[in-house]
Amino acid sequence: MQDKQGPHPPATTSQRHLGELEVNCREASKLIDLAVDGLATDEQLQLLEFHMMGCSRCRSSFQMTMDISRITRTLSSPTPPPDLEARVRQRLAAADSSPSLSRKAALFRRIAYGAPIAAALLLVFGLNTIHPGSQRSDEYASEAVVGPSKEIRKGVIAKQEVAVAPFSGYRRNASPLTF
Amino acid sequence: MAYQLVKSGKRQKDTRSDSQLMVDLCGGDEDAFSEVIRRFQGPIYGLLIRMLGNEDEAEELLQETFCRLHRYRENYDPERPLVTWIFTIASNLAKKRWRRRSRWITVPLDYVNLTSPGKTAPHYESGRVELRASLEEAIGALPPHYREPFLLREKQGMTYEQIAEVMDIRIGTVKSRINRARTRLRRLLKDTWENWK
Repeated sequence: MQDKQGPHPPATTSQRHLGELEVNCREASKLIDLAVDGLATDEQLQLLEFHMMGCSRCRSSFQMTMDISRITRTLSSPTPPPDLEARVRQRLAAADSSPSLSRKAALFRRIAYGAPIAAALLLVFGLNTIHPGSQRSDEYASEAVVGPSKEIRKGVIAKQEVAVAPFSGYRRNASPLTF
Repeated sequence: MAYQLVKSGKRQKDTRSDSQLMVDLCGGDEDAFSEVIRRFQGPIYGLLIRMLGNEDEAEELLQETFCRLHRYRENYDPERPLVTWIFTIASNLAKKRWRRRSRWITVPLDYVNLTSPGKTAPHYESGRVELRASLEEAIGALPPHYREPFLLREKQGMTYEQIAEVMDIRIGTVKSRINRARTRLRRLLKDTWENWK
């Protein structure tokens, strides 16, 4: 049947544009933001309008976002305290009169923040330098000399590795930082 | 000062630009500092109170914001807008406070002005008041990292670039956070909005 009619005629300009105007709801959501903020280009507005023609959900989202934006702008602004300037100037004068106090406070703050960091670094270096598994490897070596068969020995080692403290087992494979 | 002429008991409007005020402040003009406080106290207090949900803390940080502005006035670059610099100070102070609290904050509705300035049908206006109250509550329920860019955009009318500068994040992040804030608000306000519409 198609052969009789021949190949499809090339798409008209309007049909081509309709295909190009398709956006999904996710993309439309971004276009809604741009449109509400007044930053959408004519082309983007056209895309959005075309999408909303067939999508009631996005149309509703657009209207609601516009309303939210408009009402947010009209929300009441709380009144700042009337004596704000006087209080600010008072604080500035107090800070100027006792610079040594602020210097002490800065030093204390440095210590307060620095101490936990120093402790963490010590812990990391400590874990890297201590080898709790070294004694165990000697035990394995002695077992290897006098122990029974290879398979049984492997089983014993595997069981022991499960039973020992976690740090000794992980030492070779993982850095303490990965904890 | 020439700018602070007193005329019939009222102070004449200061026409200096924000940057000029800071330049004058650096030159020792304390009246310029008064004008900076007058210009920015409302917007910054509005942001802080919505971010912190506590009047006392908002007032304290408002004072601290202006103290820092005064203390570090020499660091101000007159080529850049003062509004982003001062909001950056306030935003950083608020972030510090959140870290100390380490929990999300819900803003109380004590300060919500429920008066309706419009002159339309009463049922429409009552719905509008309800929507405003619900909107305040919904904004308060947003996580701070969504709430802040949303408020800077909607209440202060800042551009995405300015918000990115204030919050020290990328523009793409600003866009996605505002998008998510709006999506959440739509979800939270769906029923109220349907009734009002």
